Amino acid sequence: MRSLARLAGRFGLLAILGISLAGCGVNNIPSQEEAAKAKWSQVLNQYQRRADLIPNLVETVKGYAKQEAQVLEAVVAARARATSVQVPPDILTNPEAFKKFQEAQTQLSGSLGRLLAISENYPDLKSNQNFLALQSQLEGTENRISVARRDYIEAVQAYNTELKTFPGVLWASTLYKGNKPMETFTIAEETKRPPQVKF
Amino acid sequence: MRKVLAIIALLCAFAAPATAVDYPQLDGRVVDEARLLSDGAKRALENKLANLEAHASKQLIVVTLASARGMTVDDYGLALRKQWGLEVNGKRVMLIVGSTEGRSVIQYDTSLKGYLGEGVTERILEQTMKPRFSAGDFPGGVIDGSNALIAALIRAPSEPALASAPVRVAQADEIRVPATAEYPALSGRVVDDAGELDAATRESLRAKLAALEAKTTHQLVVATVKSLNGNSVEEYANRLFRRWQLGQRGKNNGVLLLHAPAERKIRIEVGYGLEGTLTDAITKYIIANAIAPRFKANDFSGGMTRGVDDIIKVLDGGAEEFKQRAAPKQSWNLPPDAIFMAIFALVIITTSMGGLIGPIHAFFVWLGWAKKKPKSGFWHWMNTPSSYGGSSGSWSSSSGSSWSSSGGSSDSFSGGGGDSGGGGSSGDY
Repeated sequence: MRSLARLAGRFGLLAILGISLAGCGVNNIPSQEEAAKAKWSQVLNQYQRRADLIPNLVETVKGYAKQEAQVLEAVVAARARATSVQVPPDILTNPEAFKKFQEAQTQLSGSLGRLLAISENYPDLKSNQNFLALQSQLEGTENRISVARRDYIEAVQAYNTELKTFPGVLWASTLYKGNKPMETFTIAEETKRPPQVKF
Repeated sequence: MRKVLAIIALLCAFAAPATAVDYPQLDGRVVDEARLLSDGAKRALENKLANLEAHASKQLIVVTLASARGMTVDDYGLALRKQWGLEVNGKRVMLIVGSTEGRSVIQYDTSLKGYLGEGVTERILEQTMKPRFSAGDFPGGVIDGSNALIAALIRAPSEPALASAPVRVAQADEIRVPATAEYPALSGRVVDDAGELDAATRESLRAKLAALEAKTTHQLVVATVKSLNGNSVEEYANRLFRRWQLGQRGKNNGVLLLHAPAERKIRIEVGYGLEGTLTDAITKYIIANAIAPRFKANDFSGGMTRGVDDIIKVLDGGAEEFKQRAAPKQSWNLPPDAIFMAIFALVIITTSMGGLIGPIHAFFVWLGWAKKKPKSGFWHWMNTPSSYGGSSGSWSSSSGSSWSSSGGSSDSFSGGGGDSGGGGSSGDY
């Protein structure tokens, strides 16, 4: 009888310890890491969506503006580069790979911006329904990319802060020694807006 | 090792409840969570407080609480001050009105003792505010209390306090609280903050939007805002959408039609769940053909009505789709944290009943982590509470009627927990 009570007491103590540890955020690091990874996959997703739109867009523009071969080729090449960049599994904690990825996407953004800018010179193209639909999709995707990037930046901020502040720093130095701070987008591209064309 | 773990666990046990409490946002010098003040009164008070800060370099923050989250108003006030990072830099006063608790508190930095000590705050609470509150005049009580505090703060510290000192706030240019962005409250399905729609249009839009939700569960909300505060319309719309959580949780079927007349921008922000129905191309088409031409001619009511009609036409796509949508999958998910918190609360209650707090505190004192007794000057933060418990009958009973009218929303409407990832499109005119 007495041992039963002692067992119950121990169990209770263990439960209290577990609960108070949970209250202390022992789960924060893994859950925030997963959250940041989920946001990152959304970023990849939206970049992929943009890449998928490009062949159609290039075809449509080609039909009306053959003489702009240089700009068109630049877009195709930039897309090829962006989609061929290897995304290693550790990209989020690998500054070099992350930078490479970001550069490739920035380059594609730039050449796409030029393509949209020159299309302004072709009235027939501008009134083509197919082009208008593609253009609005591209704009929408660019906006989704910036939302996804913002979400990712915020998630990483929370995660990186958790790694460095109390009580997270306790767990980071004991239970989660392998967890490194994640890379985040530099502000430079964040402030860059797609070229605004007035007509 | 065991001892270290025990200490950490203990520490955590004390840290945990602090992280569980939620706090209103510090979005100005007046944080009217309990909605006691009308918009005009709030703005006027904001200006006065801004003037006080500009000319007397003393900061007064007025807070009305919907509830103190189970803490005492005094403790919650202290927690708020910490949460908002107001602990540094003295010369600060907080007036906190706990509407459900029927208790008001004035908390101020000790450096202001010359102005507010010697019973000044007690007089303000007891003689200025309490009679108003007891009579059911909540806005009056908050405003009069704030005015009396301002009057006390701008007189010379040596001057004797006058019972009815005139408010001598110099009328300077309006000083705005630096806020990243101001978002209107979701007061209904039509939030006409810019005031560009006529009453008949607002009413007919509201009816259409309510009918749409009743039929399809999609939440379409129309909003006009005075300013985007320097943000792009895309960013503002996305943040507003997420703030309002339009659409049903899990279905994310909300749509926001936003107009910023000052910037001449229009945006249709589409929740994740409707991106396939209300595509970017369609929203672009609606903005370009139904809305922009009418806005260009200053026909805002007409443009909004046509825009809403077109969006509804797309969303209410037919019987087949409707049948599929009619069976929402509702999963009831209680967050595991809630269970933990419940058990945790139980543990805390039992330990405090068992008188364990004393020994634990002693242990902390022994460790040197806690002070044995607050020395004078240790609490740099004076606390003057006042509760109108005696006459609380009138306070709590009359309270219900007084602020449901001041809320200003006629149809009770709230977002369903939906999310948006930036779908839709924008345009100008």
